Parts: sequence; structure tokens; C-alpha cells
Amino acid sequence: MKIRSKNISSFNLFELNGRLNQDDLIELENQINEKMKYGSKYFVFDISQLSYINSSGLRILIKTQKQLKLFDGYLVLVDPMKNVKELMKLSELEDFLRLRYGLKETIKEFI
Amino acid sequence: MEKEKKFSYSFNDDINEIARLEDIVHAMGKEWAIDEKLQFSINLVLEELISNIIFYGFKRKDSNNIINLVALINKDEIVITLSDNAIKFNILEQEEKAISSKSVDDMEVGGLGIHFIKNLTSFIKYNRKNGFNYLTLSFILKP
Repeated sequence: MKIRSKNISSFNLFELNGRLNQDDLIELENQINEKMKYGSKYFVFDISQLSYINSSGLRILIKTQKQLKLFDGYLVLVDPMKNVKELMKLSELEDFLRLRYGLKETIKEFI
Repeated sequence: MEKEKKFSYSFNDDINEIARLEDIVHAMGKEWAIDEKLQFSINLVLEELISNIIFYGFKRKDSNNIINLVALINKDEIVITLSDNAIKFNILEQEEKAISSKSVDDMEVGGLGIHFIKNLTSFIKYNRKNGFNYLTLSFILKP
């Protein structure tokens, strides 16, 4: 399973694994939209096992962050692999996408 | 045994073809001992370009729609040429957008792929000839 999500306390935890193809990205966007529709405004993405992301994947994360901001919410990305982190650095997205390290510590913010 | 110096592949006008890219770049990486970081960059650049051609380049589905990839290596660099018979598209004329957190509220999400392509390659040349786009990209090898 490349995308797994669950509700924990006040936030949604998404675990992204491997390499997301076009269908996976559509699925991810649908899942995010569904949760936002029901009022979710805090998202934690565990990307420690995400080995690859392209501009389409980043676009979904950017769009989500922008939408969440309208409701005073936000998403955070936790523990990116080296190459994914470098790509975010190249696109100057590290701050905007709130890169964090340590899932347990990050989760504490929301509990 | 002497190493293969050239890889050639063709892709059909089908977004599912993108799935083959990972294997192709991996094979290239293994044969030419390319580090993981450079493989990641090559993979990303080619995926951005080929998916763009498939999504926006071909006016209609046609069995003659084709995308060719030729990769060569020399001591300093890997040179990849993509050729396709889609509509004219010169990436060098396209605006790139580095996204700055300072301008997030005004940010448009387009142009990110172009930004990656231009920043992960060391040289880009575009040519249009006989109904084909020819895009040549260079990736510098670490000494």
C-alpha cells in the first residue's frame, strides 16, 4: 500500500511509501479532499519511506497547504529521504511545507 | 567486457510508459556507475519532460506518436537527447518558477517541473527539425 491514512486525535496521519505514480497521486488528492471536506485541517505526512516525488506530487502538497491555510490549518512533512529533501530545497519549499524530523516529536505538537 | 556507451529507447504516447523510466535509469546507472543522486535527477527530469509531451504535446492519439531517448556517456557527462513528433515545444522559452515561501500567498503551482529541468541539468539545447522536437540535456558527472 503506497498511501495509508488514519485519524489520530486532532490530525490526520498519512504514510506515503515508495514511488507515487499518476494514479497514486489522484488517489492521494482524493483522500486529502475527502478529509478536508469533513473539516480536517491538520495533516502530518510521514514521508520517511517516500523514495521519489515529482512536480505533480509537490503541486498537490502545495495546493493542500494553501487550502489549509485558509482555515488556519496546515500540513507538515516528516523525515524526508535525502533526495526528496534536496528537491524541496531546490524548489525552496522546505519552510512552506514545514519539514520536520522525528515523527513522535512532531505528533506531540498535535496531541 | 567494455561498457555499453549508448542507451536507446522509445516510448509510446501512453502515460503508463512512465513506469518504465525507473528501470531504464536504474539500468543506465548500474552500467555507468552513476550515483544515486544523479540517477534521481535524471529520472525526475525525464519524467517531467516525457509526461509533459504525453499530456500536452500530441494533438490526437495516433500510433505514429513517438518519443525517442538516446543517452550517451563520456568522461565528463551524460548527454541525453529526447526527440518527439509532438507539437513544437521549446523549454528554453518557458518561464520557470522557483517557489519562495515569501511569496506563497501569490504562488502559482505551475512552472515547477520546468524549474527542476533547468536546475538539474548543466546544459540544454533545443532544435526543431522535420516535424520533430530535439531536446539535448547534459548531466555533469562528479569527478
